[in-house]
Order: sequence, then C-alpha cells, then structure tokens
Amino acid sequence: MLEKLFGSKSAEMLFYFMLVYEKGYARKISEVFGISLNSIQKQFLKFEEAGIFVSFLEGRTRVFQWNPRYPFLIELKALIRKSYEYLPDSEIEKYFKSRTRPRRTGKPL
Amino acid sequence: MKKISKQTSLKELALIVCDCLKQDKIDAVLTGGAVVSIYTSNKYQSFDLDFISYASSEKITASLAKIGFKKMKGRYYCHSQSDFFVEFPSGPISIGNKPIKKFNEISTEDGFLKLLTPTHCVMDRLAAYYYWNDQESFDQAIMVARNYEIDIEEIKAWSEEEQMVVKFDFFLKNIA
Repeated sequence: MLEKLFGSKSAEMLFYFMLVYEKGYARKISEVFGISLNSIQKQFLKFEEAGIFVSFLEGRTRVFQWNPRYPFLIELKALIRKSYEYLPDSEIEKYFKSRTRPRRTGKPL
Repeated sequence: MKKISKQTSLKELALIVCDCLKQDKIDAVLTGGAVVSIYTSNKYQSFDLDFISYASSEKITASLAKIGFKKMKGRYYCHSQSDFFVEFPSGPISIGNKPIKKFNEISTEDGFLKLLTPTHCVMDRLAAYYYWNDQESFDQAIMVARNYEIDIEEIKAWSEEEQMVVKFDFFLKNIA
C-alpha cells in the first residue's frame, strides 16, 4: 500500500514492524519477513540518516527505534497505522503477533 | 579568508565553513554539540560540526572543496589539516515538532556563522536528556544556561508539551 511511497516493499514491512514492536534489529526483521538481511540493513541506515530512527548497541546488536525528536513522527506513524489497519488479518496473524510480554528466565515453554 | 590549519579552533572552522557556503548562496545552520562548544568557550569540546542545510549534497561538496574539504562515506566531510569533521544531518531544524526559524548570527574577521540561539541550544541538549536520559547533554544544557540569558518561558512551554515537566524542574533547580 505504501510501497511506492516508501520506495520498496521491505521499507513498508519494516515500518509496520516498527509500528507494532517499537524497536527492532535487522536480523530479526529479515527472518520475520524472509527479506534479505542486507536489504533491511540498508533500509534502516537510510531511515536513520533521514532522522526517522535512532540506534543503540545492545551487546553486539544494533537495535533501532523511532527517533522521538523526528518532527513528523506523529504524522508518519499515523499514516503507517492507517495503512496497517488495511492489512488482511492473515498478514497480521502471520507477521505481527509475536509474543512481546516478558518470559522469566528458566521458565519451561 | 583564514587558512585552515591544525591550530584552527572549532569556532574559527565553523566561521570559515559557513562563510564559504554563504558565498555560494548556500544557507546552513550550525547545530548540535559544536554550538555548545562555542557557547561554553570549549568547556565542552566537540569534534564534529553539524550543519543543517537544504542545499543538495553536490552543491555542498563543490563549495567545500574550494577550502579543501573532501566528502567521506555518508554525510561527512574532512580536511587534511583539521581534526574536526563537518557533517550535514537531515533537516529540518526543529525542537520537538516545531520548526525553528530564529537563529543567532556571528560575524568576525574569520567569517560569518549562523547557529542555534542559546535558548534553542539548551533545548536541543535537553531533548537528548528528556528522551534518552543523556547526562552529558544535561550538563551541557546547564553550562550554556549559566553562561547566557535564555528564554526560560519558551523552554518551560516546550517541556510541558513534551510532558517533561519533572525533568524541566530538575533542570531549573540546577541552573539556579
């Protein structure tokens, strides 16, 4: 839906992922969507350069999150949210229903 | 125009760069840590000069080449005779979701420089403290606020909009 606006399908999916989970790293997102790691990394770097995301090192992993200082953040997220609502339920079930609540260390699955 | 050497200070370099861009009709505003360096007379030393400009990368590269800067990977420019980096982060110039249109200007024999006002410099540093608890940025905001007359009401109104009243009060206590 926003593929043309954002430049690619991977960019669109990246934004949906970040909308739902608030933060993420390239390897995880590439695994979730089956998109090449290189492609996701490039998108992250592009949007970091644009000021939309910021990143921090957590251990050896570069974790990206929304940049709260990006002046169009509210409007951009509103656009992505609206587009997300148009996704078929099957897509939402498939990609955006991962567990996000904590899991105590050592707890059996 | 003064020649760039190892002895050129951050402020002198900022003046030279901004002046060079201005001569090529490129509007650029110095933001970030370099502004703190200038307002605190280097009590805090930054090594990169972040300019925000709406000019194309090609125009900026051509202009800065005249004073010896080379474009590196990304948005960085470096000079063989200087340890400082010049960077052009994406615009717009804003604090929170409000555009900034009022700037400070400095003119000396070294050139011309457009930069954030002391009030906006303090807000820029406080933003990093508000969103990421960055203590270094908080200390820098305090340093600038103690050195210059700043518009506390503007900072207070912005802090309220950002729902950061508790952190703003802490800042206020520290500059008293």
